[in-house]
Amino acid sequence: MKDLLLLSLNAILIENVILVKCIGICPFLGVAKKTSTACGMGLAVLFVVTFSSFVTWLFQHWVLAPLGLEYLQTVAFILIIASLVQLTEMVLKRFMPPLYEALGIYLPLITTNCAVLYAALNGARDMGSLFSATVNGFMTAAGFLLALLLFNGVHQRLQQCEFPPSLKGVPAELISAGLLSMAFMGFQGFSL
Amino acid sequence: MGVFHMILNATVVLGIAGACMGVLLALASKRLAVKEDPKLARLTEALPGANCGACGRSGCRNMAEQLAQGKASPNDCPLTSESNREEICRILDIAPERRDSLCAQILCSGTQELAPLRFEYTGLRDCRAAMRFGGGNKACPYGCLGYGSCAAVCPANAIVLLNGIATVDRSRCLGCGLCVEACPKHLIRLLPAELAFRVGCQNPEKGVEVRKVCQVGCISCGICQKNCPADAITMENGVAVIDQARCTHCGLCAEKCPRKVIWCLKDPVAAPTKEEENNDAVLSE
Repeated sequence: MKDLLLLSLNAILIENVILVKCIGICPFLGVAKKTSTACGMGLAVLFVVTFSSFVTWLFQHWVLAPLGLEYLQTVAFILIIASLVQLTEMVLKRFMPPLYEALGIYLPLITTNCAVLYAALNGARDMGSLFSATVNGFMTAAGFLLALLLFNGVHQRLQQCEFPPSLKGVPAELISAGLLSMAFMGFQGFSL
Repeated sequence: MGVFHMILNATVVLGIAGACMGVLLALASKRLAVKEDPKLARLTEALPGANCGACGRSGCRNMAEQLAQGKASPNDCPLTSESNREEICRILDIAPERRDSLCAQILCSGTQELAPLRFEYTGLRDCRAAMRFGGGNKACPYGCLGYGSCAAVCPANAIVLLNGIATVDRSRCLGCGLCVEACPKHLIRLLPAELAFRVGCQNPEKGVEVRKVCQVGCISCGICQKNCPADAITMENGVAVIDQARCTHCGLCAEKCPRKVIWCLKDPVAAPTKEEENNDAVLSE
């Protein structure tokens, strides 16, 4: 139990996928403008990452490792993630139309999201058991969702501020994203 | 041998994994197929499929869904042709509404022979990029730069660059208005497609200033206004403006214009002058 708690804390805060590892910056900057889209993207990632961490861990330990093909990790995982996203889309469309509608365009976009690949690679490489790999995936995605929501709040504040013309828009966003990232460096002090 | 095995292993494993995923997806798509509204496929077929976003939806598919749910009007799509719009109305079982068809018009006639350039521009072939150099290299600060930012966004390839300025092929123009937003000089207007005559200039300066930078620009002399039998022409912001509702298509303004900047877009009632014929030929090209 303690291990799982530490694992979660580590995945959400200390090694936050966006703000510490700087992975998945594109949706972070693009989708965080509205709360609804930030939630949609975050939930879609949560869904897919958990699922794909589970499958990729199995693939890594049952197929790639016994055959000595660990170097195929990246390409094989991309293949798996892409198919999983497609499959997820179909399942959702069939059985959970409201959720499918809510996630909308973000679900297919995840195919090319590097945060998903990061979580899969990380889980398959470093996690000892299938369960901890899945939890790690879920918590990494939770960190992603947290970062999106935090930045969404920052973005809404930014819109009410007066900026010099040269800093308006993207530069201001990037600077505030950097400040947010520096705030997360504080968590590095927890040596777990 | 080792390398050969490595390659073979990798290929076989990835191949099998890929095939498994493919079969799985194929089965899933059969098993999990959702019965969708049969209208949807027909609506998607009738929409232009350009995914331009001019209707405000995220693509034609989304537009079709909204149409089927009654959340969109067939008129929201500016690209659909008249026959396709009727088809959509038939599918949805609603009465077609009349829509004023619009056509993009470029308010500049200064081709490279007629409007001089201030300097040689060799940068990126894009109007917005050219604008950065002191507002572009055309002597007239209001004129068309002719680097085709409008042509690049046109979904129907209706804008051609001819003699250094953009011209609209009216038969192809769909009136979507994407070029209006793309033009950094704000030169393009959506005008009624029935318009017969138009003034091809938007330079608001006095005649003396206009003469310095262009041989065709409107000098706001008011001759067209005085000659118009229907009082359809007014002077606004230093250029002549033709009121479409009053215009009787007589063609007198184009004939009397000393700068030949009033262009005939359709056959006028009176016989066209030679210049008008030339201009017509340029436009229809």
